[in-house]
Amino acid sequence: MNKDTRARVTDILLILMMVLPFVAVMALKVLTTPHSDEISISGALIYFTIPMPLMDLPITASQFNSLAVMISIFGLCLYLTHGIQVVPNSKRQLVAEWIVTKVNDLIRDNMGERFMAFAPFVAGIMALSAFSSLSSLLGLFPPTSDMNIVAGWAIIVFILITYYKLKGGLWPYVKGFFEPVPVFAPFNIIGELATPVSMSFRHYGNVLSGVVISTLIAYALQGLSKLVLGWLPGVLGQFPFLQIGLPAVLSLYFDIFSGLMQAFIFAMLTMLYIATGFDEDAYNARLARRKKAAA
Amino acid sequence: MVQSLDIISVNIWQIVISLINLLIIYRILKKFLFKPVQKVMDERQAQVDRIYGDANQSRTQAEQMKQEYEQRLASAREEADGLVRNAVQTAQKRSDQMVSEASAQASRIKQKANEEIAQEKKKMLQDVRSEISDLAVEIASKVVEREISPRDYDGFVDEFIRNVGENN
Repeated sequence: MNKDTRARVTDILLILMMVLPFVAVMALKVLTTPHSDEISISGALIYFTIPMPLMDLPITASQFNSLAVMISIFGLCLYLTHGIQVVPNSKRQLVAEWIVTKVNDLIRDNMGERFMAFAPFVAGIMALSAFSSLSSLLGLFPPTSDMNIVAGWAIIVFILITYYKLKGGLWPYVKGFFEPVPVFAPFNIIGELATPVSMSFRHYGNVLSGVVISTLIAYALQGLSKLVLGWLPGVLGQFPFLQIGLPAVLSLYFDIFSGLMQAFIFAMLTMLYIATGFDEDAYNARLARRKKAAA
Repeated sequence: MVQSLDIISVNIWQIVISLINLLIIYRILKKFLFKPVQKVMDERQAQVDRIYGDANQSRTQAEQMKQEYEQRLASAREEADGLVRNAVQTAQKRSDQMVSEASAQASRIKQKANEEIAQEKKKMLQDVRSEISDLAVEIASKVVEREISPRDYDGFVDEFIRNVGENN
């Protein structure tokens, strides 16, 4: 087997690595979804439950779909950087470089040169969020419409914000809650905690609302179709013709636009909150003080 | 029968799983996308810089060589000019020298000739004088019939000759 064929086989395997997880979770969904004509708007399907301290852990469709999304992103990364060369000779290398350059530019513009190490993190948030939201196009349960998933990301962002605020010193951080007057302390604390909550609720709510509206419209169209076209003989009367068309247009907005938009907004807020949470002057002053103390 | 979660449900362990998932994706993107792409782009940047540096270097080198060449050419031209000038000067000097030498020689020859002529003249005059004096002495002796010593009449003869010369 020469080098060329081996590279091609690797490419095919990587593409399979991108596609197969979704095929698997789609199959899982098809096999396990209880059939009902009733409209049902509920959370993710629970496949099994692992007993854990504090609270049992139900393993649901969002976990499986997240896993599929992650494997797919992993495959995409490997595919884009496979056969990467100093002199680019493939389109996918250009795509990879475009992604890296764009994310780096975004970080540089919004956070500054100091935060360049955040590029993969922000890209990770964007990729996970966008892929998760777009997985609803395949009829899957989008993991981003599960609050727990988005809350996990928001908690990491909150930890990072707090970490960078604490870099300016513990005392300025605590003092910050009592400004402009000490009476404001409770509001400031609530405001601080509201950041991750609002971030996760915004993202989760947007995606979930899209799912709910899509489900409602699809159900309504099914009923309308039965009502209007029910006189057609046989299978034709049962087939929901009116479901063709309008749901696709709606999904263009709710799944694609809204999903990508929320991914971008989440990443943007992450960058801005972390960058504004970091007080460079206070950090430098603290460093200088520490240096003086050491000397 | 497969059950579903409630539409709003909070589960700490699911949050933890999602949190870990994000960290894993971060590591994956960092290691498998950003690092190799950044490495390749840096390498390319370095290569481009190197190529530009080489080009600049060879251009400056070429300019330097050109300058050197022009300098050398100019100096060669100058040298040639100098050589020609020198040769001309030498030739001029030599010719001047030769002319002056020739003229000097000519004047020397002339002088010599003049001197010789003068000497010859003098000698001739002397011969004539002595002849005349002899003649005069003879005539005189004949006239006075007595021997006159030539030495006694030298002055007389000289005066006579001078007179003859002036009359002539």
